[in-house]
Amino acid sequence: MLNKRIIYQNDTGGVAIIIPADCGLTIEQIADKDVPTGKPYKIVDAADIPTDRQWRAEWTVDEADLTDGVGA
Amino acid sequence: MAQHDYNIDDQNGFDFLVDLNNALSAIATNNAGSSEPNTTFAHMLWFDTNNDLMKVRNEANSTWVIVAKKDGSGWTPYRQGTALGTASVQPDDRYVHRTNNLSDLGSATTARANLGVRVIDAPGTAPLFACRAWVSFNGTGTVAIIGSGNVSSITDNGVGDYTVNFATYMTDDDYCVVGTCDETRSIVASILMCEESNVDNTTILIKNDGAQPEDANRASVAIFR
Repeated sequence: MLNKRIIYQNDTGGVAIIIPADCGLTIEQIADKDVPTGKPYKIVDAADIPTDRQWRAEWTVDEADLTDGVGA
Repeated sequence: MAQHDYNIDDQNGFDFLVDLNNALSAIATNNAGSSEPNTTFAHMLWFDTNNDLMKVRNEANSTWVIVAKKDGSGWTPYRQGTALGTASVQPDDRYVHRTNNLSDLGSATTARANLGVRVIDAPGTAPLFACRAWVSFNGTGTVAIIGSGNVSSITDNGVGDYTVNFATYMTDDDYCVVGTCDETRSIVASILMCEESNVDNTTILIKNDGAQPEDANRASVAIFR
């Protein structure tokens, strides 16, 4: 689970990335809990997130790809 | 040892005195004798010297009930005719998980250790307040949590912008956010500030000395309430 990330589109059209902690919850439970209500999200591998953050503010995600669930 | 029928006969003065002293001796020795007294009464005591047993007559005066056994220089109590044993010979297997005895309760340190209680050994009388959540994470490269407590996740909102999500929520948003971060990527001076506090999360910002957002190699946040 710790090598997973949850991504969703923030209010300004950028990408928010949730990094799970080892807290006893599953990645799905964390997504339901920590993704803002109504926001669709996708669970991806941490390796899929770019490591070069120089252009972090420019990252975008197509909302159509956020198909794993919606924040509760 | 003496026993008596507790009936003073009509007799002359000297015999009366002897009879009375015999009765008093029987009382003083709990009617001790190798056989039971010829005349018995309800609740009467009898020390059976043949078996070293202290007995008491039942209320109906129909039988003897053992109350204790003389055991060397001590006594073993009985209940309902069964010896209760003594503290010194009781098996300790019921308490095998304890390495010390109840007498160690006199030592606060030992008692806490036996009970598995961990306490903060803080001097003085000032009250203590606990850290309710904490997290340490690296904010460069692959952002990852290094260690945490009562934190379900952090949200990477952007450069130098993180939300700490609590596993168990705070009672309110009046808590204190304490944080540190190491030097940012390009500027030595950096500051970690609290942007927003909610019962379920808090958002922090890390900025350089030019007030611009910067990722820190490592940031730590603690919540006190």
